[in-house]
Amino acid sequence: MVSTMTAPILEASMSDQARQRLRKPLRRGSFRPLDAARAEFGLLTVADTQGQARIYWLIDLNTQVVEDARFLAFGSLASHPIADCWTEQLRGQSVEAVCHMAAADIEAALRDKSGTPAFGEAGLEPLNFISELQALALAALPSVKLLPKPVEVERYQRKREQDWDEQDRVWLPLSLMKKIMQVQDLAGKALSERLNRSDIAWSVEGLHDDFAVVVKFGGTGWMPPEDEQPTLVLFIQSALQNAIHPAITVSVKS
Amino acid sequence: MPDTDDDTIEQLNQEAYKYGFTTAVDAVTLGRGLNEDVVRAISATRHEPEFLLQFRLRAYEIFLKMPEPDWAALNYPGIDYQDIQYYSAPKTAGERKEPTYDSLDEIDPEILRTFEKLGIPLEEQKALSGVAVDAVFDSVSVATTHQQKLFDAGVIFCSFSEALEQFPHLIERWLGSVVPTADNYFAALNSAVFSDGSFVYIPPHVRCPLELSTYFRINNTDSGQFERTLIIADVGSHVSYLEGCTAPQAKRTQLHAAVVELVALDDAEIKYSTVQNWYAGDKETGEGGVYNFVTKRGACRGKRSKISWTQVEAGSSITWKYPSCVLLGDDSVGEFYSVALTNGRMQADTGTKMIHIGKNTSSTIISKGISCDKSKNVYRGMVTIHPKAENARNYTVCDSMLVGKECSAHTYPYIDVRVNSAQLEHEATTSRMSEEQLLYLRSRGLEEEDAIAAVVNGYAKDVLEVLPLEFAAEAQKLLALKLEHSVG
Repeated sequence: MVSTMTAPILEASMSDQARQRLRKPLRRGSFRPLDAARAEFGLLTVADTQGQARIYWLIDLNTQVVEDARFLAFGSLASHPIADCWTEQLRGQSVEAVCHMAAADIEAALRDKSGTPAFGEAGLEPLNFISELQALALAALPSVKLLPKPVEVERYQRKREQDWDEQDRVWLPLSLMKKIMQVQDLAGKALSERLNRSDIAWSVEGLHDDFAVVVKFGGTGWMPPEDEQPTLVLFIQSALQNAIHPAITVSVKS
Repeated sequence: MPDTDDDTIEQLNQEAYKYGFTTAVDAVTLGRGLNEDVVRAISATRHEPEFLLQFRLRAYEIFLKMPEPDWAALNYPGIDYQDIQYYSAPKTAGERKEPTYDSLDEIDPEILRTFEKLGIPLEEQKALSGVAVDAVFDSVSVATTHQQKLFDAGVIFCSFSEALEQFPHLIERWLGSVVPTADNYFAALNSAVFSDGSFVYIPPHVRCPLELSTYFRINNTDSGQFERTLIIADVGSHVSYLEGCTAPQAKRTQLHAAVVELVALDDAEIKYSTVQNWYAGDKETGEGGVYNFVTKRGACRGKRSKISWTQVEAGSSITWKYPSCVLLGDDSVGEFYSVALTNGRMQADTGTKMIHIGKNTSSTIISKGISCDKSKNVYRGMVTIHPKAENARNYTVCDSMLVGKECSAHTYPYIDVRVNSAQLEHEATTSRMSEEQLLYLRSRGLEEEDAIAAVVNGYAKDVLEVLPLEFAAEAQKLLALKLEHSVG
């Protein structure tokens, strides 16, 4: 178990380079299987048994080259700059080369220009977990597979503010609750006027992607017959499109 | 609009505990009763590493040898530990296998609708309010949103099961380091049968970009909930964590025996906020309800570290918890802010422990108890200052408010000082919210609800103002709602 009670001493004895990477690492993060599948790479991820770090490599399985890499560190303070430096160095290299990189080279990259050791008297000891990660990565490599590329579903993307027209400027900045309130008021009035009654059992179930209103018929009050509900939905849609925004669509909750 | 008095009453009844619904979801359960086989089965079902199985078995052995504590000022029928289901997890749609959720699309839509009913949208709208949510349904975390955004900042926020899978050695290092298995009876039970919870790790010098939130719901009325939460704040980091809880109405009592462990290293800060609204049982008979027996402890391991507990306890039939801080690091700070409201036949024995060990440590305890109807509210606090804790400081305020004639409030402060340079201040008040007070406010044009809210908000101001904004508004409404019809 790594002692963290010595942490302040360790940070103070770090080189400036190491301290900079501790506070602002460049390659921290992770990859999901989805990221690998989208990029058509294999995802190799292993963690060492001392609880120092987990690495995430995107590997071109044809060339065995590490195309991109990230890490999450959670062990000693030194594990963060070490993992960050190593992750930055290994991009573009073959897995074989990466797994035979010497700890001394990583430590050298963390030294200041003056040649001050990266971790003071601790020397190369804080880098011990790297060799374990290298061994685990080599062992895991044969089992890394290419996942099927996902079918991308087009997702709603709000227009940029520069592209907003007048109706967008009125509608889009409203909060979700205010949008729903407006929809409820206008749609309620439209239904009451059309059906000449005020006790229609309906409600707004949700408003998605700024313009997709979902309504539900039911609850206390008068329940419209099922065969009439599609027509009522069209009334509501028409009313909202005229009064609020032409892009609004209305559907019934299934 | 209600047409008759009956309709009004029905509407109010529904409003009083609007979360008392049950979701009909297929669940994987392990039957009732507790023995070593059940402990092994829980571990096997979750495909846990060997170290965790051994952790559970040791805890179970300790649990068997420990007597159940009975020193609290609580009256309740004994718990039949053989009549509880210790594992319940919702099945994935379609397949009969151990659920794994890589995306929201895999989750039973009924579960998502449950959380929407509770006002916990797991959809992208939540991103707008900047909160990442981990929703725990019975014993399994259903989804953790915004995980990727947090990973990019180096923050690990995931379910306990996912943390075991991805970061087992990190769990092995810290699990049980603040609340050991032998700490107390319910901690031993939790250590043997816990099945999920939340895990958080904040890397050095990182201020967590989102407020992290967990929502616990017991759906299976025959099961208990035994979640485990572990938060590690590394050197110089900061995190705010919000926790909310509800459970359905049921005639059976349900046991919630959770363990929360917090670790703050040098210059780190953890703010842990809870709004607890477990079902409190029938108001007249006290039947049903959740027994909330929780062990929460934070260890300020590092110098200048800080842990702050903020809680609004408005539910559960019996609350028995003492969120505590162990102030190991020099110049570390522990804080405890609490509003505990009991009504109906609820009982609460709650408070905190502040244990000063390092030098120049300080702690603040603000506890506000509100008792109504026939409930009992107990504050139990302990401030211990060890011989090496030079220049320790403590400030304690424990106030009680009585609403009505049949409720009770008790305080048991305990102070143990072993060093001359310590300074402690302790204040306590007891007051009543009376009809005259409300009449005065109503004569100024306030409606009864607003008058109650004004009195309560003023009384609990010191606690409500330290709650995260997300919770503060909800907590104020919750307190006012709970106090309706209790004043008279």
